[in-house]
Amino acid sequence: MSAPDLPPGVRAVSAGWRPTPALVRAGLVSAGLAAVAVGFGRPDLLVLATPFVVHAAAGLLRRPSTTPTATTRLAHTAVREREATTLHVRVGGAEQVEHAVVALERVPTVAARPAAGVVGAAGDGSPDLGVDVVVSSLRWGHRILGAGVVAATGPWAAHVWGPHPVRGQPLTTLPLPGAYDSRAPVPHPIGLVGTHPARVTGDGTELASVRPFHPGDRLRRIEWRTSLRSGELHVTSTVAEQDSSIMLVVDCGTEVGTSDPVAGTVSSLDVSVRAAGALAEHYLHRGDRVGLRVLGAVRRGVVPLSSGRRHLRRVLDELARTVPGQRQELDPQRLRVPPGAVVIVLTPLLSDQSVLLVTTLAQRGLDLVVVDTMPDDVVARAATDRDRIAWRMRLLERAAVLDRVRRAGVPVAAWSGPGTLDEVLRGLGRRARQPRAVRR
Amino acid sequence: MTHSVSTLAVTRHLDRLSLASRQQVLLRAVPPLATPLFVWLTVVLGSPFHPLLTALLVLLAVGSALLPDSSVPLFLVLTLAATWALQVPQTLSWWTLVAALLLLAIHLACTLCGYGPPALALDRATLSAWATRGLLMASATAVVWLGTLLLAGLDLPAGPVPMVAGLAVALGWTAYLGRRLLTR
Repeated sequence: MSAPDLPPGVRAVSAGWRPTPALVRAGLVSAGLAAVAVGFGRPDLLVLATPFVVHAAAGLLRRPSTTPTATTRLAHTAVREREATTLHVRVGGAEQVEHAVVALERVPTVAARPAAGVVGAAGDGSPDLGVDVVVSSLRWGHRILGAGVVAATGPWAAHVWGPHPVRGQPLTTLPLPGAYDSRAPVPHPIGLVGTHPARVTGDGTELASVRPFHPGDRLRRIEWRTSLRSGELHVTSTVAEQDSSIMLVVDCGTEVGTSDPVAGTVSSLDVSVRAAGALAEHYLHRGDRVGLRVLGAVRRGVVPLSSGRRHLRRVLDELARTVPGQRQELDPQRLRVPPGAVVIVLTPLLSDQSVLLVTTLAQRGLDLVVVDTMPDDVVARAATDRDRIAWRMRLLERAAVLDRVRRAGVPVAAWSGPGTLDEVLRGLGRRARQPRAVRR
Repeated sequence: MTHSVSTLAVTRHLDRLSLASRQQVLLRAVPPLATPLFVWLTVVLGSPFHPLLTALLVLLAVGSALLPDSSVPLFLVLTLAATWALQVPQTLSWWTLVAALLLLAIHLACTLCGYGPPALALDRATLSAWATRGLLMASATAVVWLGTLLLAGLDLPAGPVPMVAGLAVALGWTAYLGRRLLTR
């Protein structure tokens, strides 16, 4: 690595090789003892000086002449949370390198093996010396991984190159979707081919009715028992199975709770992101169309409705880009939701903007579900008694907001993994079959 | 401000030390163990016991354990050698060889600790190479010790020639070292 490649604020100790304290020690002690031994006629001091003379002579005779270079490369550019990848640090021009060591910066959301992030490798005389560090990103997001320093030691530990800073490499950590499963049908499947029972009859597996035969009906649909009993041909009709549209809205404007992957604590945004990932994975695997809108994101934060395995990667990638604490005003009226789509808002419902969004979308008559992502241990994890009291008061205010949202006809379900939305989706399905007045 | 910066540096260093590998802990234990042995050796060979000097040596030994990749081990080794030169009467007994090996142990331990941060555990190949080198240095020391014993046994004529030759070799070695160490 040349000097101009160094990050700002980092100063290279030396571009080339420099004597180690061990060589300086060997040189000075050997010279001093030898001089005194000869000068004062003390052969015992010559004995004391001998090992230092050997080390200094060997180190100086094998002084390295080539300047090494260091490059880094990550084995993967994207991983899931807690998945490991390898950081390859390659020291070029390493013919005279006896040992190289890499020390990574310690980052709370990154784990390394060994845990201290310090790995060494002995040189074998080849031009390239590789030092591999196994690293694992513990939390979703985009981050630079592998920044640290590299140093190389010459023969007899007499000269050292570095430590030189090495640049980290960008790594996308996709959220690991939480466990989720649902048996409840989505209220308004109006797509083409899917798994949700639609409101119209068509090809499907769920029985709709038994009706008289019409020209064009398939023969295999004839209901023989009814036909024999009535003396007239009857056929079974089934409910069409169609796909559905799910619009996920993630509120990143507020993050409460502590996200500590090592301690196992999660923040509200962790819950939101992982729950959104789980919902997206579940519905995309069932053939539905899923879209994403990150509420509060300064950047666009929109993934349009689509389906397929690649689309899941797009959704997860956008979720990984979520930055907590951003505030970008969003007019709820401008949130485009196609007809029949179910909007699932994942929010801790702590900001006025998210409450306004939920109530406005409810007034538009959309099928709306709020997933409450508030961690349940915020009071217990408060640092002081004062914080604890403050959190209790805040949660009382939030309970009032939740009541208001529920009174507006919006079902709210706390995220609890599989089956979280079953009850509320069935409720939406029942409500969808009832007439209602909608303000537009 | 300076105080806070130095406190921060000390805290960082202690943080790094808390991550020290078992191998580093063992290597860093060598200077504090070898130094009292060396002092005991000088007392056995007739040197008077100096509490202040011993305290200074222990302090330097602990400093060498904490900062093996600094100048502290140099001062420790020089102080030990000076103690030997000033306090111990000239002797070529077995103890001289033991004293040289103790200095070698301190030097090698600090050298190995200097390969990287405290968390580094050196691989088997590097340790094996240094075991060989340590044996080489110890053998060379033993050979020189035997040589000096042999020369002391011979009744060589006194005169300026051996002294001038020895001085020339020592000065030549010092000049060579200075040129190589100071030239980058």
